[in-house]
Amino acid sequence: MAKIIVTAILCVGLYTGLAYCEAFSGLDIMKRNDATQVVNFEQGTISMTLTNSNNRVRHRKVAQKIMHTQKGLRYRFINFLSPGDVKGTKLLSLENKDDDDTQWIFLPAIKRARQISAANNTDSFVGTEMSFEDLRREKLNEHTYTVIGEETIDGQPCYKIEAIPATPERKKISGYSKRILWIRKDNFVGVQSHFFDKKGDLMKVFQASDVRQLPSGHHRAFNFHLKNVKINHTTDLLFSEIVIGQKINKRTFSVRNLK
Amino acid sequence: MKSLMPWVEKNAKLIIAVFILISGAMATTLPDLRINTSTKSLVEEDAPYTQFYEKAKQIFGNEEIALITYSSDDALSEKSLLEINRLTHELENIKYVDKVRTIINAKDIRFNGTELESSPLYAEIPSDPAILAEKRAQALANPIFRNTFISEDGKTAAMAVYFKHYTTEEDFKKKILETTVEEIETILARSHLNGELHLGGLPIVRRYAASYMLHDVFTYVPCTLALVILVLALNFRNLRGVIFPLMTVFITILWTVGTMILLDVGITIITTVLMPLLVVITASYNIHFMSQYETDLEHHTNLKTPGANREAISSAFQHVYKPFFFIAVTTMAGFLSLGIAKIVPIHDMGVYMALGIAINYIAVNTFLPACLFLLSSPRPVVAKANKRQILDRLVHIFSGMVHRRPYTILVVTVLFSIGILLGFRELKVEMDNMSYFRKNDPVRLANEWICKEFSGINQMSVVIESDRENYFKHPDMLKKMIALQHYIESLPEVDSTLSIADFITRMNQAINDGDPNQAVIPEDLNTVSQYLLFYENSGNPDNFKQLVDYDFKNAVVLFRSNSWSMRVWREIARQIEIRANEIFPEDVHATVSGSLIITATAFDQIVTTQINSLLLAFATITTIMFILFRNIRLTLLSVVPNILPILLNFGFMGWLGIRLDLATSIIACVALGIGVDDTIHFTCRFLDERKRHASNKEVIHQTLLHTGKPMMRTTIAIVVGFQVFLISHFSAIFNFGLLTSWIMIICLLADLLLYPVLLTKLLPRAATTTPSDVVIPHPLQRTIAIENNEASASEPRVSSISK
Repeated sequence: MAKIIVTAILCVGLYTGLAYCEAFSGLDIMKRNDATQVVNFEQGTISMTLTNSNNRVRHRKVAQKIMHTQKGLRYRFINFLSPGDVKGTKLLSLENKDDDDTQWIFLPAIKRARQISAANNTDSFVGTEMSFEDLRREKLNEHTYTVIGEETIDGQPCYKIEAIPATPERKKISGYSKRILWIRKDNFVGVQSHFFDKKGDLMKVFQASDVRQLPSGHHRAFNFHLKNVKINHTTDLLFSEIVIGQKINKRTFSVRNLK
Repeated sequence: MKSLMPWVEKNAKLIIAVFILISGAMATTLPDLRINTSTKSLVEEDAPYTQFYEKAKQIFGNEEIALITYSSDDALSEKSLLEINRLTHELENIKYVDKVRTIINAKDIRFNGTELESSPLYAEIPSDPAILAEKRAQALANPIFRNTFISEDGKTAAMAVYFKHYTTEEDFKKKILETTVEEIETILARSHLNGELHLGGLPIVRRYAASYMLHDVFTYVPCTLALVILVLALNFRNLRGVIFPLMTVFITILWTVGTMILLDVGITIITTVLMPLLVVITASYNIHFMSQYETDLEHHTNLKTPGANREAISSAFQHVYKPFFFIAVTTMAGFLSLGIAKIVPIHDMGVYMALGIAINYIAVNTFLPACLFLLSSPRPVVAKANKRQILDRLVHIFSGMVHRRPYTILVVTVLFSIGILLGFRELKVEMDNMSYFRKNDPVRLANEWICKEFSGINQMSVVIESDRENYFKHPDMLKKMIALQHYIESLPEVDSTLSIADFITRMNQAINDGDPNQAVIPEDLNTVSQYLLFYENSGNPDNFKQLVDYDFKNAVVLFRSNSWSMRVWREIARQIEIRANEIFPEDVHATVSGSLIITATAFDQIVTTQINSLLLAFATITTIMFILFRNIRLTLLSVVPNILPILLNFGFMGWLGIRLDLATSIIACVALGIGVDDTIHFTCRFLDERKRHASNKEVIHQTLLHTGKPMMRTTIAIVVGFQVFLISHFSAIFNFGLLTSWIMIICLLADLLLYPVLLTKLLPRAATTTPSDVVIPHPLQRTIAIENNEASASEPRVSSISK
């Protein structure tokens, strides 16, 4: 009888273990990470500090509003608050399901909104280390994700995941041959990433800190630090006034609203 | 000094061991021999232009790019574009290649009828002929692309290869010049494209210059050594006569080059001649000692007598150390005068040649006798008399001419000199990196082809500095930049210009629905700022790094020229700086910068260096002559056979169209340092013979008989030695070899024909009979006199080959 009980416990334990492992595959972790990002409405302000290799800096402040449609498509509206010479410049980016994003820019100096052609994945977003590929939703079905270890970042246990473009199209358009991502175990927030260029050389390092839980229950990092190790250019993003769930008027994401 | 030989004899083994030990240590440094092709290496590191260039490079990045041109009937056809694209991807996969900019991937800003496009014109290569034609028209109409990525006729496209950041010059050399350029060439060689490819640019020129310099050094040295071995073997016909002088030459080379390596002094195009030059000059000093040694040995009636060898060595030393001292000092003075040059390769050449000669002086007086002390006495081989018949005849001819036709010699010299000196008017000062290569050299041909068929390869920048942030966002400043660009483009040697103003103009046109009338600078600062923000939104953080600094305080106008002439570059730079400072307000300062501008600053110093170093060499050598002869008139006369050949050399260069450049500017001092030796020998003998003979005819005849032949032999040896430079990859070094050979022959003729006439006609006997002459003959005169007696007694012999 005792043997049966022991065997049963072992079997249940093994099954549970296998189930656990299966539940936290690389893809699963990334799905959970994606889920933390996809909220219906999110807004906040971002102070940007860009520093070049000669330690010269540029400061910018923007207000950002994000909406995810029912189909899960991300719409982003950005309004420049400072410096004065670009104040009022607005960017609107609308994700399309099977096509490139639609983007518009409004330049207050000439009081005109212009549709701009789809940016390359590798292009920089307003002079920061972030590329358009980084800003878009993670294409979970176009990458393979492998858990390659577990590490502690800032005292928090993290999954270490290797993300590699899997489809020919993704391989072609992605600016990266590989990414190593550190995802916190407790809240699935990404806190560190290493980006490798097409030659396999380390290209960018991303670090997030000051992760807080918002009243909505979502977790967000309030400090981003990105460094392009190739050109020694860094971007520091300081988030404030992040609000999740507060409804944003749909007209915010229309071209008419830009003017 | 008399006690030196007993000391050398006593410590012979120790001396040999020390020399071999130090030489061995120096030999271990040889793998670190560094070839320096950097344009910066021409001038001192703290020179203002170098510092400015380094500062500008830090802000705006490195401008040393390689350029590959692809030519076909239509470089913008689908087939050509696909080939360029494939090649671009292959090149971008090279480890140290940062990026390759082409007509396909260079970003363009345009309005396509519905939206603003800020992306490469050929993001997708179309196959539809109509689209291809449309894009072709756009490409050729784009001023940012034209002559930068595509030629005006659309037949040649360019691929600009940018290299990854490097921290040091050595880093650049190893990673880029030695590795990456080779990989680029391999890819081009196996590309099998439909179009024709050419590879050019400063990194390519530097890579091949380094390779040629290394090849030249490793060709010159064995060739000159083979020559020295041949001369030694023919002269002495025994093993010791070859081995020991050769070892001394080796020691000199090892110590000199080893010191250069230890002090991190790289070999430049000028100092490639250092080693063979040292071999030729120091070999002649060694021959001098060995000849004297064998002469003295021969005078021993019984060579088997114990101590015969020792006495011969001591006697040889007593004979040669003083004349050799003066000869070494005057030659060093000639070279050291180059040490005042601010052009680093010339300075290095002068300093390390002088060091080599000093090392050789020490080695010949210690190591060489130490080796001889360890040997038993051999029987020297006596050369056959008929070996000298030609030189004997020449001496008699010269002697007869000096005696019978002194005025004819003077008149011919004057007429000949006037004729040659007229060429002085044609002499041009020039520095041209490309003309260093021979005319049929593939590197030169490729670069010339690109410059002729496409656009200039050489890029310089006008750095415009202000003290205010965002200054170069102001429309007024941008308009002034365009005005400056118009001026620069009006210069015949300039092919194209580029500045941040071009991009602002292009954006203004694009944002105004592509209206060509809007290809202007907008009137408002905010508009410019917002355009730049828009542009940043689709590029890289360092998009405009080459054109403007991060806070828009300083900006750059890039321009490309098809000229390699530093004279042209210097003049262009001067004109542009004047015009730029007229265009911009007083608080803005414009400076032309670029690696080639540093070379151009060296160009400014060629003439100054030439004059200063020559004056210094003359002053030093004349002072030494005065100390030696203690007679002002004689000293002044002795200057004539040395100054005349140098002046004639400049005239000769003018007639032949050989320009005064880095290599040819050192000829005068080199020739002066070497050539003055003949004058010293001749004068000493002349003074000695004058005391013995009453007739001028006999004085001249005896002087020529005893010094003329060795002078001819040494000159022949040096001239033959200089012929190794004729096999150089560089035409500049070829010219150096040719001209130095010519000047040495003229020096010889001046010493053997003109100088005796001047001495007999302008130096009265009374002037040379000084109290010191009578009571205590000058050591050198006495030495030469002893040598003279012995040489006479042993005639015919080869021992006097080296004066």
